Amino acid sequence: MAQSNPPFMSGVPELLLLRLLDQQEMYGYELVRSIRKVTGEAISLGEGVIYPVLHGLEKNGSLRSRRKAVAGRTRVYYALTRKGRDRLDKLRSDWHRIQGGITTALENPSHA
Amino acid sequence: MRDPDFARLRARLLENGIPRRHVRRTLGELEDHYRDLMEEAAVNGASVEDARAQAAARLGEMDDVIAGMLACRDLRSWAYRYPRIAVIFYPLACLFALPAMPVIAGVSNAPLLARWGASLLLAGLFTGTMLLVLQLSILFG
Repeated sequence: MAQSNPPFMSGVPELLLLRLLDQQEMYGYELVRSIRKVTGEAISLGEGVIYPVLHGLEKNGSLRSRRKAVAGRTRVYYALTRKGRDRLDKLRSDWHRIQGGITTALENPSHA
Repeated sequence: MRDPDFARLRARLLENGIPRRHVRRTLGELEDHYRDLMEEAAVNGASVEDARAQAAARLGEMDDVIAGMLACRDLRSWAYRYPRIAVIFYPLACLFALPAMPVIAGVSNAPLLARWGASLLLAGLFTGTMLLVLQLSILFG
């Protein structure tokens, strides 16, 4: 069955992609496989939606891409730029702040 | 299950102002991804038909890809991002380009024009010579 993931488009993919590309350059299919692996398949997405996110990040300077021939195919590899690293730091601190707030709210509902 | 509708994806992106080069690249990446998914399914023992179905399901709806691309304003061509400027710029550009068009056409078709000019010159010389011969034969004949 086809998967549709509007929630996936709300900032989580950006964070995950930047985090994964901080370690090494990867192409789209490889990135999705890594997302499935590192999230323990908790995040299941229509894999095609990764490309608009990647292209948007490249356009705003967070990523750069290069074509590389691998096993008879030309892959588009993405890598993080310095701007992307700054963006990752910001998203990561935002995520921890929000996660902390939600955890507090869940554990102490009377304070909410 | 059918293959993902890449043709429709292409058409929708182009008609919504995503530059042609970018559309080509997006399609290339998606088709490669689809092929990778089919190969993965085949390695896991799926039949060709099952592999196609699984790959299409995992790639997801092309409508989501279209929505994602169109939501990112920076991916659209400048004429779509700044339509008011485009409305002024394009007619002005045409106005200035119009006088240059014959020159550009001449330069790009230089060999053809040279052949055409040479033929015209030869035809003129031949006709002139014939008329001259005729005139001389009347005068001295």
